Amino acid sequence: MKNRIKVLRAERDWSQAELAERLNIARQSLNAIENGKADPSLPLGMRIAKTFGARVEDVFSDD
Amino acid sequence: MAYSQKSFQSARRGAYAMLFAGVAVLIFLEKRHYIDQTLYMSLACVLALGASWLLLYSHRYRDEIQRHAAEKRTYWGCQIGLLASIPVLVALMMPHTTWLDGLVQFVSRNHAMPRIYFWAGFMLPVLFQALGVFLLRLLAKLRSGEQA
Repeated sequence: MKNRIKVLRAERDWSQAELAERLNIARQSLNAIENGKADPSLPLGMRIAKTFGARVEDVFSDD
Repeated sequence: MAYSQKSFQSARRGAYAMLFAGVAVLIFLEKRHYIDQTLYMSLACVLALGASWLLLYSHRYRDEIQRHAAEKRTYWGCQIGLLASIPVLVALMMPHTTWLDGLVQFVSRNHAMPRIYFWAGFMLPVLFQALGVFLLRLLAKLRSGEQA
């Protein structure tokens, strides 16, 4: 699954640590999601989208 | 339960401390013959269960990605450990070999056969599984260190 977390994060000038803190997950976990090494659950995916003020499909997409 | 690296580390360290202290006390009590074999084994089981519970409980403080990665590592570590233990188990079960007789006498102080069954049937596979999980954890740590 592809995602635009890195782009959205850069637009807001947030560091990985900052976003991880907002999402209440480990920075390493966010890094794994960002690089496509791990897929978040639906609730976490929705939380990520909500944090960016975007829709889930705007953040995540199929390969 | 909310993610908290600090709580996770505390619970984990507590479990390891309990395990090491408990094992040390049990060995001391058994060596001095303060407790008999039955009580020794019962207390060892209670200790193992307590430490396992605390280790499992500590995972409540991890986030879902960490939990999933740990589950995957545990599963594959156990599978690899189990496979690796098979040749050793086969060697242990081969009767009438000189080196094996020596090994059995080394492992089993009172020459009682049930003890070797306990080791070969339970302890050895569990130890190999733990080793497999430990190796996968080490690899994951080294890999994350390379990326940093």
